[in-house]
Amino acid sequence: MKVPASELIRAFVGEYRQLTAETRAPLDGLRQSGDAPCPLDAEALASLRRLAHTLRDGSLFLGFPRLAAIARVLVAVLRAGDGGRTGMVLTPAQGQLVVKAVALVDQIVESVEIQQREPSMESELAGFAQTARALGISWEVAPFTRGLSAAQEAPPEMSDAEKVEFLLAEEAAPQAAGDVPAPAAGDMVSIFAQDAEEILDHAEQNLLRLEAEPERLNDLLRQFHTLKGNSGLMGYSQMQTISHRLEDVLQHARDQRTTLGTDSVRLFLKAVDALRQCVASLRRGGSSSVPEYEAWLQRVDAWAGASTEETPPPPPAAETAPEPAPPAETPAAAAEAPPAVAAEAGEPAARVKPAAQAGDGIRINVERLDQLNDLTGELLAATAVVMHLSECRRGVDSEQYERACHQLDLVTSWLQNLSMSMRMVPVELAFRRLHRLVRDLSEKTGKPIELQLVGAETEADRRVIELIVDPLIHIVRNAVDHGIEPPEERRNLAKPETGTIRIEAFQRSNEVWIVISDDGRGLQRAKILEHARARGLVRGPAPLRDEQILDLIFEPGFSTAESVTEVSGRGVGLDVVRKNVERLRGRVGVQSVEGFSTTMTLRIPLTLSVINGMMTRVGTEQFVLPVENVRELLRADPVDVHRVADRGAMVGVRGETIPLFRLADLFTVSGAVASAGEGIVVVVEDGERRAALLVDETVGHQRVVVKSLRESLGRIQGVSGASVLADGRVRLVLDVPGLIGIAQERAR
Amino acid sequence: MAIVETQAASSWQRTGKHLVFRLEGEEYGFPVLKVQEIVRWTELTRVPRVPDFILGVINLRGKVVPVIDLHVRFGLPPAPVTPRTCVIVLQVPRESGLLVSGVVADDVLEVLDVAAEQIGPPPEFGGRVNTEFIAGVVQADSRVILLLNAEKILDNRDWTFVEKVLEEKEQAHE
Repeated sequence: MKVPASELIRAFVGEYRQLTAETRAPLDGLRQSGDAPCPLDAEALASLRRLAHTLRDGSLFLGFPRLAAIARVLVAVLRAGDGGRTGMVLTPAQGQLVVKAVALVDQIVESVEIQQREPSMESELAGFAQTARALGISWEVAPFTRGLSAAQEAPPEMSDAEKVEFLLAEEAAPQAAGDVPAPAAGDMVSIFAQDAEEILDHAEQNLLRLEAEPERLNDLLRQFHTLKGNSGLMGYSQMQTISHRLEDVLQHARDQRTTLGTDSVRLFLKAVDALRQCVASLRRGGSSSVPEYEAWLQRVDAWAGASTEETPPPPPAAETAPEPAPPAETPAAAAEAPPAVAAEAGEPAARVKPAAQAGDGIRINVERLDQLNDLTGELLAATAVVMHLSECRRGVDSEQYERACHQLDLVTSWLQNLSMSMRMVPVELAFRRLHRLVRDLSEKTGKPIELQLVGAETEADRRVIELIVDPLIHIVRNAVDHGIEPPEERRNLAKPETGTIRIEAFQRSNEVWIVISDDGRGLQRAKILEHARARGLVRGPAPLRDEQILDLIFEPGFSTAESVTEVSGRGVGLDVVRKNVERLRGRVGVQSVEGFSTTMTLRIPLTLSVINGMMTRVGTEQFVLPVENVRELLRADPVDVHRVADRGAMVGVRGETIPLFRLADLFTVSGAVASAGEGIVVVVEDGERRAALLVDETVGHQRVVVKSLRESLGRIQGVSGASVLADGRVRLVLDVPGLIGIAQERAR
Repeated sequence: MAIVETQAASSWQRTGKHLVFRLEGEEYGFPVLKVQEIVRWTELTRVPRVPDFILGVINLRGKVVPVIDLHVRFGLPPAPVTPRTCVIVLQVPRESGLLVSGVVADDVLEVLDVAAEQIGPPPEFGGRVNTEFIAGVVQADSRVILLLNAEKILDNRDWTFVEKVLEEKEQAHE
């Protein structure tokens, strides 16, 4: 089945018209303001920006470079400092530029609608470009940047619209009615998948907040509309049809000036899940067919039919009732019907991690790219000065040279900061899943819960965000299952029936903190102790400090769940959370007021690639030990070292006996000191285990950038990577958990 | 001194320009499209717990690149480092991006144009080098050049296995 480009263009034009209708008032304001500055309130600004962004994305997708260029100018003008929350004031020149831009766009869109292609309009565009540049806004009519990037073979003399047709013919030709093979080229598929994932994520957010904020219906409509268009363009007819039907349902709701009921929202969420499965399958190179496609079609049709028949729309329960399937199912049961969907519904979050494998694209703010360009220029200039000075050695005073080097150093560190900042993404990506999770859990357990998220804009390294998703989910599950009491119990305790889970993210020095608190029953010390003793986690009568007791919940094998519930899994406890966080070189802490609250604090370094290293020498070799794994350094008195039969050497450190290893033995290095008395004993820990390593000496501290060796050398036990030091030499960075592992194997 | 070719890779990758180098008196070649650059011999950092043909890692303008000793990889006797010794830095595509590694050559000789018809199949047996590393043999004038398969030589997917074998050997000794 081929979707003609003309249909897409028609959809695009329709969308544009709809958006311009919304911006009529602010545009009139701009036209009349003449030489006066023109203030835009938040709403007007938002509508104009929406127009600009939609125009830009749409024309890029369809391959209209001139429209995209104008839209980019609009986006640039309307970029407000505070994200547009308080609106902004345009200068008269900016106001006129916006008016001019919209007029040009109107003209181009009109001709696109009729001729299916952009007119060249060179003189008008040149004039506009000049005005834009005068305001410091760059102007560039880029040839196709994405939509048609896969169509490089398209004959160059084709017009844009023809290219779209060409592309579609190429991609959609082998398309059979069954929609089984994924027909499009790899690049296009991954662009489509990335877009679709984002759209579905946003749609899910909107669905979850729809009841509280009915105006989100408009966003939802737009999202399914876009998804429909994109899947059509790719020739994924099943996805297109489903999106189309869902859009119809939304359209109908909007026409009736109503919104979706709880059950409809639930069904929509299931639909989002089903569509996500398709996208996931496409990413794996599989087919684009929708699981249980026929069932979905029937369900949505029945639903659409129901809402057209019964106007004004019925209470939500009736909305899905007239299902044509023989048994009169309740909406909830109907939603559970497709087994594939239902099976996965319990794990909505685990399924959708931010997929950022190597080769995946990421979005980078254009401003940051510009900065990168500028800084590279500065770097070249600074390098040129140093090179020049080193060439004419004579006659250069050292101060001059020093200054040049300093400048080079400065620019380099700026560049480093910038390149790190490009890896940063907002915590919001990890938070997104939680709304859905809490909603599902709340339904399952019958506990009403309010989720508060604070500081979602806090940024952290991409990889940190990826690895934090699982621990977060785990903690939230725990809070719902064990923390928050059932509503009756809360009522008896004079607590509000609705439990609250609050998650707050912020930066503190070099760390991201994520604090998860709930107002449930808190942690009961007596129970924890009893449990830990029963499991042999605590031995001896020595009294434990409060935080030591609370810390027990992170021990492997500890779980106070009195019964195994569907929500909190089986036997997997918070030890997994601690392990994951420690993989990120972070820490977990817990505080709790019995009967009132539990607060978990995750502290994670902002980036994974820079560590504080302690340089150690062993024989002729040097290694970097991460400082956070080093507990203490000592010169062991030989009398403190004893041999334990079969278990090797042990060293006594303040009453504790720790196994002692020569690093030289673990790594077969020759020429190192033989006995503890001659060298330095480094006590290292990985969070649960301790070991003492014998090294010749320590040679200082340094912040180092860790580079992975996994790609080129595979996994090396005991080594986490390598690092280039100031003297240009490569030093290996030790992986303490791995080292302890080798040491324990040896001791056995 | 990068000598990366810009011309498109021919469909039959064994033909085209090859970088010819010397190892233990014999001549070998890598397709120049696989060669990123040639660097002078520098001090290496040894890496523990890897197969013994990994000499160590070097700093290549801030990147950490492993260096493979072809003598050991091919089972040839070790050669002393001379002023002519250098490291040929190769790059081969992998699913996760380019894999960059260096191999030691006793001497780099020239870039040679090789036509398809000059290339014979790898010898089935009898050579000094394991035939899985050899992509073909060029016989020109009185020279014999063994064309090497860079992907095979750099392939590290079974190295962890090698490591395990080494460990087991070690343990058997103890």
